[in-house]
Amino acid sequence: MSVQKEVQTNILNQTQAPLLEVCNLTKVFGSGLLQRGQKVALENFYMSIQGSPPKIISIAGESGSGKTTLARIILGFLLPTQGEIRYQGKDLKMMDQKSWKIFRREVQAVFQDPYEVYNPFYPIDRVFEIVIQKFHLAKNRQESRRITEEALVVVGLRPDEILGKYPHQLSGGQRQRIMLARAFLLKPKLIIADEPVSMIDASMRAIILKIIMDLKDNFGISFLYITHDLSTAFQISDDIIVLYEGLVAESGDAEIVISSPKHPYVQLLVGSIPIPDPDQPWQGRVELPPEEELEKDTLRGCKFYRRCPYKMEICLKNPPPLYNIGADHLAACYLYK
Amino acid sequence: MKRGFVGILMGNRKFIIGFIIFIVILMGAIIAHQTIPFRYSRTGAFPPGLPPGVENILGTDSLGRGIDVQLAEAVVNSVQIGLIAALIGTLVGAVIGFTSGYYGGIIDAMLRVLMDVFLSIPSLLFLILIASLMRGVTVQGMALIIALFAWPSPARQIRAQVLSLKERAFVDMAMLSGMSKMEIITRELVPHMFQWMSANFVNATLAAMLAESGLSILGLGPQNEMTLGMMIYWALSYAAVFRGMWWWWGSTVFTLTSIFISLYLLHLGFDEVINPRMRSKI
Amino acid sequence: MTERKQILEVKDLKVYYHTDRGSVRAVDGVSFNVQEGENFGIIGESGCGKSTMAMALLRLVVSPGMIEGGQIFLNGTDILTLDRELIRKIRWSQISFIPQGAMNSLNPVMRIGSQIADVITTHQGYQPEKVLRKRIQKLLSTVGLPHRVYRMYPHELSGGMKQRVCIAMAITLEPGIIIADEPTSALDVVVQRVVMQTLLDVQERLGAALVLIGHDMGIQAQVVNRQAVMYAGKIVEIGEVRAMYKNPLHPYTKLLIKSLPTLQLRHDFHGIPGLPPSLLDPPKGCAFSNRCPYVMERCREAMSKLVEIQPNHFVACHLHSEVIR
Repeated sequence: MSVQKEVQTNILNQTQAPLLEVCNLTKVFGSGLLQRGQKVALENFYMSIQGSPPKIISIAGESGSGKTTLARIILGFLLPTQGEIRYQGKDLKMMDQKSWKIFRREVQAVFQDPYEVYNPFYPIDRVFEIVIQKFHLAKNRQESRRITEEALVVVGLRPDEILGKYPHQLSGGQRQRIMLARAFLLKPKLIIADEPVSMIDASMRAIILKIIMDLKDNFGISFLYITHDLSTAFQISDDIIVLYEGLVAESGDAEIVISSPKHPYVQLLVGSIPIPDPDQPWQGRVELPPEEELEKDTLRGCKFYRRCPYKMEICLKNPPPLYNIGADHLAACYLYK
Repeated sequence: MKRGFVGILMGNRKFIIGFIIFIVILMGAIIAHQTIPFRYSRTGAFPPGLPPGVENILGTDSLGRGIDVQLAEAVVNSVQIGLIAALIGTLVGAVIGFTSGYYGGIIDAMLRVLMDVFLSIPSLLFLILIASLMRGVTVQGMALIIALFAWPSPARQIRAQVLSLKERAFVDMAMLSGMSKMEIITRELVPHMFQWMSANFVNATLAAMLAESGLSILGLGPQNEMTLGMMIYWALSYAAVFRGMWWWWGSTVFTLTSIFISLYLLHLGFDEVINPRMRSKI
Repeated sequence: MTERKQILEVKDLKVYYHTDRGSVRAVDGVSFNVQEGENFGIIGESGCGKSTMAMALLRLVVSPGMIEGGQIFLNGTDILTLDRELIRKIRWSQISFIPQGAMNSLNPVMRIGSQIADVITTHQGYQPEKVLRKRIQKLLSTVGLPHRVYRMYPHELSGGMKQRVCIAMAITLEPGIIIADEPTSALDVVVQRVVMQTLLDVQERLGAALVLIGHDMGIQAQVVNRQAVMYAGKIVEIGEVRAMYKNPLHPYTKLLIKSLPTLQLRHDFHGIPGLPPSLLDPPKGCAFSNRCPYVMERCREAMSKLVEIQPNHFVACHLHSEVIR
């Protein structure tokens, strides 16, 4: 995966279109009349996922960073204000029925809340039955049952313990794994996982993260792993993009970015992770002056200016572009001009 | 889940009592309607103005017709009007409510205008107007007229619920699975509203029967068929109160009141079952 | 080690929920104590009963839940024996509470100032507005909020600021002990750090004890001195936090720590397979026996009591009680 400002060079160099390409994506919420009511969720965002070899790409950020908006736009639940999403070269907005059906099959999702994703009135079998029926995955009942059971085994569940039950009869971890099984059933190329473990107990998280890695390693499925938790992102991602207020702060190889972050915001983020080791406490103090939280965002320059320990005059003029600071390692900070 | 709902309803005391009263009255009326010979309801079948006696359990009216026969027919017809009007109102209301809420946009805007118009029109006045313009209403006709004002309220409430339901994750999941909008409405959303719609159906029946009695007492009911409202109308026309023919108007009022009480108990039963369960589900 | 006075002592607390399917033993014989000014943590996953216990400490358990047994000594008095009036007086003035999701239960139609004022006037009677305002604004600055927040509504504040308002409310009457149930669960990592900083600051200033309840071991490691691990309604290990992380004794604690993602090692996955038992019908022996890699026959028969294996480090596990024997 590479994140670049220039779209053209990347595309021309490909012999085959990337699996998923997000081009110049901007999303603004709020009324268009006054400038005030508007919230820019994403600004000129670019990302390209090759698909082969499969990779796990994390989109990390806090609330308000735009990561959930990005997921919803990619899945087609929201329309962008500007820019486009291209799946295998085709713009989502212009797709015909056939291509759209293919897109739906090859790009699946797992969401955050393992209870809300189910309709409480039906047993969980239904989530499999629907996709089998809609995407013609089986010829008859036996085959349908067989592939469902196979999918459950892949995620480490026992079909006899799971099938026929209602959502409230199962634990959060089981429900989330069922959703992964459902996505797997479709043999997708990409799964968008929006905070898949944040509502799961700590002891179960590792199990689900391992399943995600196995799905990538054994079945070639790429993941877009959206999270606010950098520790889990560190565990499974190949690459990472850190968002701050709708813009990319830093991106690159996950291990490098998280172990030695270059952007001041990412440094603050990594430093604030509570490490489960009493001998590694938070270093120093962090001040979050509430006055700035109350004031509306009136900055013209870098959005992180107020909290940045390295702020300079140039930071106020314009938001910094992404500078190349290593192999495929980018940071949007004038420190690296 | 649906099985559980009906099971719990059956366990609720208010629901059962209301249900039993209603069924007893209805069954009694149907049986009486079938068994008592037709000629007992013809003018002059018996001496007029008889108080309840051996031959006529409920006495006779000023035209010599058996009150019991009339009451039987009246109950069957009134309940019919109530049920038909409620059914049409709830179903039409549901269709409009779900469509409006889920599709949104222009469709929602137009349907909302329709709902709001009907909700702000004083229904009784318009029912009176329509009924008086029509010559010779039938029982079915009355049901349709009343249904005209029975749909906006459920439509509105269902729409409000759908607006919040469609934001939930299981709807996202349904979209991801390739379900069409229609399928999402019928398969995903309707089950959430089923309990509410059942309760609403009972209320609508009650309201419709009330509307029917009101219109009939005013003389706007079906002249050629007997309904509970019409019985009171006829009783009033023949000055039954003034002449002390308590068995005529009394039996009707008693029956009407009993039906209302039974329906109200059903409604309370529904409420008790639906609400605490909803609270604990979250 | 200086021996401090005990401010809270919980003895064999039992809280059950009575449903038509039976009694759910949410808290099943929990004992621990907290010293004055100490930071004490209770860690457990969802369904272990920690939130129920938090509510019990303030006698806020409502039907169908009921405190079935045990004692809770606050400053030497068993609050379970007190009548309602006395409890109301004690709440907030001697022991205060920051419940889970507190920031979302701020009254949306009341200004922040009025809400805090309510806490004060309910316990200390009427006071003139000027006096209240000064006092509340001073309170707000101790939690790092500007004076103008006094006039603001909850929706005008960010999540972190709302939570700091809740902290302010909890310390208004200067209680001796603060119970905080997942005070930072919905907050971002940086805001979380700031809020915890604030909480520790005020606690130190007041000299109050803090009982921090949660599921995030990272936060606990940063904040508390002593910790209790809860599993299926019981405490399985208590000890100083350093000792617990360096040398966890109970298999559950060991596995839990191992399952946490670190920033050192990648692709390192060690979850705990299996599920906690149903609290409706808890198993005869140790609740962790179905998932424990060191399970023995004894474990299925009976659960071990909390035994002091090392100084100030207690564990309820047959593995260790055997060694002692």
